[in-house]
Amino acid sequence: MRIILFSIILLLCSFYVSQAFEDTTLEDDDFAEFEQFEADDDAPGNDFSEEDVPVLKPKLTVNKEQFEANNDVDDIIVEDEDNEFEHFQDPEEFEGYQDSTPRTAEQPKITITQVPIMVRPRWDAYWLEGILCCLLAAYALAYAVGRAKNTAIAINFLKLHKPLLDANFTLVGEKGLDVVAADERGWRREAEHCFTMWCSGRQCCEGMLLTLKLIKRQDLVHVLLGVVRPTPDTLLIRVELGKDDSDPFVLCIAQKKIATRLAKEMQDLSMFCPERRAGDKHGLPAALGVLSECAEATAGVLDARVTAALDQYHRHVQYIHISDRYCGPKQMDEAAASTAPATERVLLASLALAPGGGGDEVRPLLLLVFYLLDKIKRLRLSKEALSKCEKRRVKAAEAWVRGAHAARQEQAAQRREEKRKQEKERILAEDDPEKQRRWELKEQKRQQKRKAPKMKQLKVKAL
Amino acid sequence: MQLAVDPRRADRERRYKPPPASSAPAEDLTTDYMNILGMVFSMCGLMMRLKWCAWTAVFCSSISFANSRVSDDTKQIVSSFMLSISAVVMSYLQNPAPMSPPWASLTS
Repeated sequence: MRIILFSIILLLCSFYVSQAFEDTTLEDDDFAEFEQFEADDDAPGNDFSEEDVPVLKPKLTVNKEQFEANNDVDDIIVEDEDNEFEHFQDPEEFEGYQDSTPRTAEQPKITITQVPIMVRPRWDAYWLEGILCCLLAAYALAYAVGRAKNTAIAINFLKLHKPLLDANFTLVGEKGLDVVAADERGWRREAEHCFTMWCSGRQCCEGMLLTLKLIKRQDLVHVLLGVVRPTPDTLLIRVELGKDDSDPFVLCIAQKKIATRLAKEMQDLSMFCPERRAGDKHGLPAALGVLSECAEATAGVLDARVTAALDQYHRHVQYIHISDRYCGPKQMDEAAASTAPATERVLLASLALAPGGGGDEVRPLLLLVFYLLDKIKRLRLSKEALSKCEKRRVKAAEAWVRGAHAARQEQAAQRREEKRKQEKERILAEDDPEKQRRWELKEQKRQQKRKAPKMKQLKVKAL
Repeated sequence: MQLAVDPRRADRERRYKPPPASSAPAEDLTTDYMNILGMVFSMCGLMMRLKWCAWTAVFCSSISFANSRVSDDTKQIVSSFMLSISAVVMSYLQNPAPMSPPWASLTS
């Protein structure tokens, strides 16, 4: 559908452009009327040519005769167009002029060179436009090829891993018109490079959202940028956990750089996991970092099987984030910061796929995620650890409430101040000076009362 | 890490509910930026009769279209395209002379 739309628009574009070039003939005709004006304009230039000189000469002679006649008959005023130039004929105006400049019989000869007529520019003059059109065509071609490749990767993923998903969930993928699928159910296309699939009906979770975020192969600019700074295709896994599917703890295992970024950006990690430890302290590769709220939970989750799997496939794991208080990135908006955000229990995983859309590494990593789900469900923290975690959550909730209270107080103070300002303006606008004086006194009293130290009144009983 | 028992539970099947906007990963804003850039270049091309602006607007619209999401408003993308194409057409109708490369002014 989009290809058709795009090609129609391209066709229209080329049609319009070609029309524009063809219309240049019409353009020439349009300017024909201006050529007439140009011809008129050229006429004064030719006044100096020999042909036109005799035409003017009789006029001058006529004027001379008229001038002489006027000299004879002073009473008669002759209204003539050339009257304003009469002073040129007045011999008194130019005393000694004719004596200094000898008059020549020949007029100066002006030669007019033949200017070549402007012809329509040849097609090869439009080479820059040609290059731009070629670039547009290349972009359109890259769009079609990239889109087809991304779709092929998504279908290939389904062919390879749908049996595993079918074995774990009762509902895998969606049906519909805009669905990319090998058989009946499959990916939902969000964009040309982004596909999502909802899987549900499994123990230990409410559902799992797979997001295949591929390289923007449909965009030639991104493809060229990818040559300079390569980025992998990624598979984002978001598992929504039920209320009883996990104990309250926050844990994140990520590549070192990503761990630093997540610790700064994510609300729950910055609140509950202030400490970032190297992966080798937990038996993981040194390239990984661990952000953990509770050491017991970390030890429980990172057992021998998990560490072995992470050791083998750590290059493909960008992060695994388990949280019972997940609320996304920190909110910069002040209004939103005053209210506690809605939290959810989730397991998030971001996997970097091998070049070409992933291969053998995806299956063991998907199995790792399913194993982690079962592990989290079984994991029970000790009473001490649990009470510590609960305390932290209570503290966090209190901090939110305090923050919200402070924000509300600030807002109320602002409103009061605004109200006072409005009242002052209203009083000042009034003409009654008595009223203004009374208001000023009242205001002064109020200010004094505010500045005075607060004293507590104690009732002392007389003995 | 093979599964021993069947983990499927039909009773836990839930309908898809899009995650809340606050917890969703950062949205790709390329489409919006390119749309705005395309509009600005189109207007420059139309008002100031700059051909390179009109051509840049066409490219911006193309990038915006390629990066758009399925849920995005199609009307906006189409209008951006039409505006940029009309900028090209109008600039060549007003002055059919070919575009001169930027280095031409330096060499002359």
